[in-house]
Amino acid sequence: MAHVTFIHGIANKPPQDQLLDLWLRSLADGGGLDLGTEGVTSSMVYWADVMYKDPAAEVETENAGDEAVAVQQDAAPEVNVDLGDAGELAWTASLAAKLAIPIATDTAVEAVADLGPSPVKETLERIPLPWFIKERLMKVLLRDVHHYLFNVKYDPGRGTTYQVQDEIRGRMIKALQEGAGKPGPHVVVSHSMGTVIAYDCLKRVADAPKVAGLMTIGSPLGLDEIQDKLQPEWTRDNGFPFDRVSGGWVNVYDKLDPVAGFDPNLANDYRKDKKNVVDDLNEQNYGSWRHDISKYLRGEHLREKLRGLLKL
Amino acid sequence: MSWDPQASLKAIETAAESFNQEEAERLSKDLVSGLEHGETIEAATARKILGALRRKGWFVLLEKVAEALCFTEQDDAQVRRQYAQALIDQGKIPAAIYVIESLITRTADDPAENAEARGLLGRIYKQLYVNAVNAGGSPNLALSHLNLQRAVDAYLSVYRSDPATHLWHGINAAALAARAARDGVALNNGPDPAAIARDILATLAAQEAKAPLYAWDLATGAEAHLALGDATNALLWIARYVQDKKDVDAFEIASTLRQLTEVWGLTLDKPPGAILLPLLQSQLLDRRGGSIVFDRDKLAELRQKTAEAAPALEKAIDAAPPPKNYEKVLGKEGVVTLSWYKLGLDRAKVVAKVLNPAGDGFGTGFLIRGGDLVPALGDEILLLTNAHVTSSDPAVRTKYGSLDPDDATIIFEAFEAAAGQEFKVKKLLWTSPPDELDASLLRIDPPAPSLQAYSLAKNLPLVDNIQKVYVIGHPGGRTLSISLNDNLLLDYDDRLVHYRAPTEGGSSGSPVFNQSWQLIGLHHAGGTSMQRLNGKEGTYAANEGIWIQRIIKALGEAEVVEQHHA
Repeated sequence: MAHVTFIHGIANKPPQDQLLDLWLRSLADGGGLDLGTEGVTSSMVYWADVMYKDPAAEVETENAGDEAVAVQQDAAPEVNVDLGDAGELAWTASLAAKLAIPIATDTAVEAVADLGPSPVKETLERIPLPWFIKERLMKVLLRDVHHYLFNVKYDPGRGTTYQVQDEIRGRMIKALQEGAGKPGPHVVVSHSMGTVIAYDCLKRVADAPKVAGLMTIGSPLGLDEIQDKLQPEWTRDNGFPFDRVSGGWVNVYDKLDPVAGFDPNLANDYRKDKKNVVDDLNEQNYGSWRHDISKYLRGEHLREKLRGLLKL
Repeated sequence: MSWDPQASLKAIETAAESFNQEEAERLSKDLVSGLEHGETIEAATARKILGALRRKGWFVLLEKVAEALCFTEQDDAQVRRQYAQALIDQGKIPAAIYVIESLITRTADDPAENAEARGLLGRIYKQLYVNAVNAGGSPNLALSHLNLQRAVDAYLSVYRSDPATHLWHGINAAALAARAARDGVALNNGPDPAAIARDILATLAAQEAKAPLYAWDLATGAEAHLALGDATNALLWIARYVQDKKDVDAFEIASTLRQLTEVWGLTLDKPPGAILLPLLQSQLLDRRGGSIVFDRDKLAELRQKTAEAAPALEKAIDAAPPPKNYEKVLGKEGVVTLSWYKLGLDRAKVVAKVLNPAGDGFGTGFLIRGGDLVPALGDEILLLTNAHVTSSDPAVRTKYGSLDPDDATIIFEAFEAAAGQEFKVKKLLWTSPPDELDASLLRIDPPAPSLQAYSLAKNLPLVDNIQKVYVIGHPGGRTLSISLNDNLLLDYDDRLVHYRAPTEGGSSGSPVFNQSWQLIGLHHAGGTSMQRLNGKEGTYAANEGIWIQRIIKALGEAEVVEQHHA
């Protein structure tokens, strides 16, 4: 019996079981891939509670897992970055520039200004999503990526403080170990910031178990700033996590997805013995927010590739 | 046993959930006995118990429990209504009318309950009219017309007392007035259906400006559009109605289907029934507990109309002005479910009826591509059925009463390419006794017509209280119908699959499909006391099928190919 370990992306989410249900329904929608019918078990690595005090309200729409919906429900998140370290400041400013957002410190704004006009502004303007929502989303991405990669100590407001990377890595490794106990192919399906976590664990955590396949969806792993922080384990010529991914890595993107859009292709950045082996797949989404996982999971090509990874 | 109405409620709900009528009967008997011996029960709990019995269609039990509540004066208006409902659904119409008329008198000071009671009286007369007229023959026209008049009067008086509130009564008055016009019945002071429909739609628009409409309001809106002759909007409102999977369950959809066919007279052969009926049927089957029985003579037409309905609905959705907040509604879920339903109807083609020498239905079987069972059998189409339906083993025939293969006749009621043909067994290629895999693989003569390939599941679905399986067969006694039931998957091991069963007996040898219409098994048994699987203690109500991959494995081990070539 095959198993899928899902890991979600940025922004607040409904509770874990509801989120898993939403992903499964999106995947099965319209005569798609119904994992339950195929006898495939699944679990969701849930980490929204590390960043948010309470789960997002359940919204009874087909896009209830949509970050654009979640972000509209929340106040604009603070990009609460401790910029005491010059290297960290430069990193944050550089990434913020690529994501085309201002960040809330004078120093950082100056640093962004020094980089000149946003290189992705033109692309983003083609997406008819209100700019203030887009900006919030990019801020959320910036914060999450930063807090994870710099292992920031963070209290989401419940009086519990997490070392963000340690906590999330622990949850991911536990889920991977549970999946490894199943008899069939075990595939990791990750989205957005979840792709960074999945890759980090499969490439850089020694006791992570092997999986049969990896799918990254709407991934920011193409950004240099993220790759820099994944060193020394990551190298361009040998970035593929071959020690722990025995089968294929399928990377799915939409060119108008602002998270993946800056550098959507990963094959040239995560090579195996200098060879391009990551299967980059352009899945055309629709609507104003192309990063939405429920749209990606409705994609015909994505489903076909996932069937292949699961050997269905 | 101690008296605990809450525990009884829970037990009855569990019995209803698992279709365990035997247990529900025992629990109901205990309840009645307790009430008769002076025990009491809260009205709210009583109502829930009655509701659980009603939703499973256990009207005899509903009547007994409701009657005991009434006799012990533990009833309220809702209990009385449920009592009347039980009487109506068992055809005890005069008794139901007495109950309702007394309820109308008793609720004179309670406008809401009074309106409900008068509505129910309207429902009784409506049913009397449509039953008499739809059955054909020579109904007593004077009496039928009087019943129609009474129904319209009952609904109309409630509606007119407060048109903004009693929309359900209003739409029924309009539907019956329209029906009277179609049937050429002159009503005294009959209302103008179009005027009522316009008023109802205006009310709904005003309500929707404040809050989302309830599902039943959407069904009412659809009927209002029918009254105005606006088929497109009726379709769109029904498409919105079926999106609601929470309030609109199989019971609701079945009621809507009845209203559209029995009162509005919609039929498959012309619009809007040609689209609306397959749409509602597909949604019915998609819901838990949904079951469809259709006439074999109509199956080909239904398949064709279902195929045509999907693009027609899509077109209507695309052409519709997007109302606010309807993005999800216009998500074309209905179109997808229609396509899925069509696939299920296609699967019905492979189902065969196995007849005994007297020409009576003896069991079910189904066509399968031989190569899907044993690769070397290639594209030859074979028939798979139970060994307890037909077997070459004399010991099995003696013990289980199976037919000798030479005595079996096979017909296909839903397969146009085999219409009117009778097939015999040319050779029994392989059999496994009923206490093992209960299967017989047959070559039939003349050779079976080629068929559209369908896939076999490699894995069984998860037992997650969500996954359903579908059994297509000939339930006993209804030789002219094909029943398509959905069943919750309960459990399985490496040989057997258990699923919860609203089915009757007599479907032995039916194919069992998963939600993607892939074949997962061969149906062979069922009962209220099936032994649980995987070493679990106890029994439960379940149907049982043989896992198709286990049959494939046995066929491989049995070297059927050598026999095949022998």
